Amino acid sequence: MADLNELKEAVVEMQEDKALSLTKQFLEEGVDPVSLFGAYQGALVEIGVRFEKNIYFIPELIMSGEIMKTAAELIKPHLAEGAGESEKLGKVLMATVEGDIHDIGKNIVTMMLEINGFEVKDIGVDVPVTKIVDEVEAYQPDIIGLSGLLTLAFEPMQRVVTTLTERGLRDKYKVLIGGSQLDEQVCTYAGADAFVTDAVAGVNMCKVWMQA
Amino acid sequence: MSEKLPQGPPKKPGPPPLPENWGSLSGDEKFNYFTSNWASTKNKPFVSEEVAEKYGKSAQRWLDVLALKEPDIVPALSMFSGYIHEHAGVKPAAAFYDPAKATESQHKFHSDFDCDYLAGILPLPGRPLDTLGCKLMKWPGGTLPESMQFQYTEDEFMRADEYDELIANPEGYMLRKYLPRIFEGLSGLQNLPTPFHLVEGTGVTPFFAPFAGGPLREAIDSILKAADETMAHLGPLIGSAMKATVTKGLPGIIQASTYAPYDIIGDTMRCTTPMMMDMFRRPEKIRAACDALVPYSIRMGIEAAMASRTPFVLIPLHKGADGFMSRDQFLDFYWPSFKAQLLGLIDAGLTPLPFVEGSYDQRVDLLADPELPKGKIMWLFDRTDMRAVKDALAGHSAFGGNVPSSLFATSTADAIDQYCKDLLENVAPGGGFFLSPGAVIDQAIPENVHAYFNSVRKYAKH
Repeated sequence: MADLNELKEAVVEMQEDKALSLTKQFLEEGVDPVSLFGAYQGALVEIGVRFEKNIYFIPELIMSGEIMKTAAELIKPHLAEGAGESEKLGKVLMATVEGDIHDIGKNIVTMMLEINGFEVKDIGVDVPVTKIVDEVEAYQPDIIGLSGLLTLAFEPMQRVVTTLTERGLRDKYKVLIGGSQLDEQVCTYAGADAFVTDAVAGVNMCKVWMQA
Repeated sequence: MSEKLPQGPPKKPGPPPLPENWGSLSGDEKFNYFTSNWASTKNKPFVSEEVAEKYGKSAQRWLDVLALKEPDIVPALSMFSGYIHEHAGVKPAAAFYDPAKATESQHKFHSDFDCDYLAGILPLPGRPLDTLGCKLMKWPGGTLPESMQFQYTEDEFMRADEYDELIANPEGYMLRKYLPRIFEGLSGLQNLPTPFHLVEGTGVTPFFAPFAGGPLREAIDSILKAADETMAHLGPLIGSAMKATVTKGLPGIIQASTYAPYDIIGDTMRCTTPMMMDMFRRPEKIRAACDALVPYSIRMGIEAAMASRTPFVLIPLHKGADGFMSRDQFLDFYWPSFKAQLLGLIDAGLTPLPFVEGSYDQRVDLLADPELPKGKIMWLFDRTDMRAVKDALAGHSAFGGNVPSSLFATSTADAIDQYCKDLLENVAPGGGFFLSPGAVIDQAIPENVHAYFNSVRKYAKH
């Protein structure tokens, strides 16, 4: 009998080899692939709880995301078409703003959002203000995530917001800015709805908005 | 007798020779030698008595802070980089390619602002990066438009299965594997022969022949070209800094740097996310690699300090910050080799100036480690709660920083004045405190910069 709890524990404890070999073993034994996905989802919930409690940090999120990605590739061929896909929580457009080519933070948030059930469109780094707003109009996200590590990212963040306002679109979207040098001061300056300095805070903010 | 060989470019003047008994001096004796030379007004050609006195006072205030005393005026560090050029209306690319413009903007900054220490940190010339084809970062005027700021690009320049090679022979690994990957122009270093050929005279051929032509020869030529380009850029900047020192009485503080062992691997060798996964996949390799890099992390600091003649060694800290790892992981992976590095620098008579980027709120208490000697380290903080810093470090090590970059770039003079006032009135008392931006400032409003520098006089103890 497959012990799905053992699988969940292995993921929670970052035991990559064990988690993946259990996954393979269970699939070979004919365990329902949807229930395997369930075990992984349960593990991610527990990892999120540990993150909230300051027991886990970004490395555990990255590691579990990586385990999840490999597991999904193993499980997917065993799934019926469309099975295991849940309804998306919301749509997020992600970009690193003009003048900034840093992508680590943006990529981590994108991965975390996807794991947490969001549909994300990542349009890259150093994206000009008008291109961001054009993409917003085309993609119609719920949330616009603007990333930037440099202080010179503050001004383009502000211009994205003013361009949205000029096109009469400001109220249609939540604007979230993210980066390690951001604070309340920059948030007010840019006219964003919220700022975050880490990936999980970003995901949580998006969840709060989508549940509102 | 060999014939006289053609001479290369004239030798650059080196740092003053060390005392003959250097090898037998203790860390404290070396420290006294370095700091007294740095603070001395006798060995620098000041233009006037007044300027010499200003230099002496500012240098002494900085050393007082290091010694955990309370100076009459709290030193305000001039941690500005891109802003120096922005203020002069010069594009960021000029800082990389145009030493004349770069020195002009440096001069303008020193003239326009009432700063007590040299502004500008660790200049980075663009031409050698072009010559070598640097893949580690992008910079204005080179691989970025002229008006953008330089930025790092990450890749797994060191592969996951190469830890053992790095651990067994760190410099050999860097020369033959890492440098060829980060610099296109150095790919020939892959063919670098081992110097062990030379232990017997018969090895002359296998050692020297590979240098005669082909990729290794090209790599060596690139290094020499990059060296000349570096000096052509740095020469005027060093001259201008020296001039500011002797005409305006400004001591230089941030002129030498090194990195913590974990960051050496995590920043640009394995890079951010692969290194995080290595903590779970190959933890013992990280520990061994960090230990193996300690001597080099110390040596980098010593070499940079000797070259710049400043005893303070900036150590920008990255991957051990809150959020990037837990306190337990910090104690396991980051702290042991970093602490060994701090002790090694102190033992060499130098003053580590670790720059805690991000926040250490979850581990600031660890910095008051009883095995670290008191009054030998100056901690520079970005976002860590400064009251908690004071609780942890008062009486142990000097500390400062924390004035937010966002205030410089987007706020008012009043707001920055109030922020500095709070630090100067509530954190500075008791001693060992210096004022500094929490990040290197690339953008600012001039009034805010004035307010920052003025605050230390406005709220000085009387």
